[in-house]
Amino acid sequence: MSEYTSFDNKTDVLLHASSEHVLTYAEFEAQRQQAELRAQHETQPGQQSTPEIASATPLDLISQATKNVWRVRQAHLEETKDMFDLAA
Amino acid sequence: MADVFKKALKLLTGNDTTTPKLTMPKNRPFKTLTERELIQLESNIGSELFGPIPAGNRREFFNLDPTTWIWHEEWIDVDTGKKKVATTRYEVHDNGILKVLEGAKYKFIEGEELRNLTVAVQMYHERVIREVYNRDPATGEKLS
Repeated sequence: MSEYTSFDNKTDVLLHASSEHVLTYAEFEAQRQQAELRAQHETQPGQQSTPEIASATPLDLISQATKNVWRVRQAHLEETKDMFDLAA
Repeated sequence: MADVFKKALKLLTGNDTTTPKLTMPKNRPFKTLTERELIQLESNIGSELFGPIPAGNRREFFNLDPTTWIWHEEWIDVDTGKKKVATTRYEVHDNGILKVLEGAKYKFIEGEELRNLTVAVQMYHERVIREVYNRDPATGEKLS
């Protein structure tokens, strides 16, 4: 890389990453759709469906994923701290 | 502000490119890792999301807190042979994603850049929760 690039021109790299562990955009979309279907399926009769998932904006998606990663990390820290305390 | 930002990044990622990357502990799954170490593990995955990193380059991409993402890149300029460094902070606000560059440059991102960041964050979420925390990203339940 001869100069700094940001997300605005990394599309090809991002969507065609070569590592076998990296999700392709198609796989990512498939997983997202599965999650959406699962959420709709799990909605109880009489409850409002989940149109917010289908109509989520990029900001909604980023915000939710950001909070979720942070929450899981904090939960992990608490959990391992508890385990460490119990083992001590 | 820039100094505080640099200091925080240095604390998290260090400044020695020869330092071996952390790997997931396999024999001691309950070993207590610090938040910094967890973020380093996450950044190992984050840096892979954009394809192979050219030799001599360094890339970090990680979630810092409930509202902040950090992109850090180091590379050698082919024309001058000098090392270059760039750090970008993406802040999640109620009205958009604010891109903060060094030198007090601020901009709400949109269009393709916003779409690409969205995909990157979702891929990070998917892989980090599975591979670092061994949980189902959709349900939060532990994976067997």
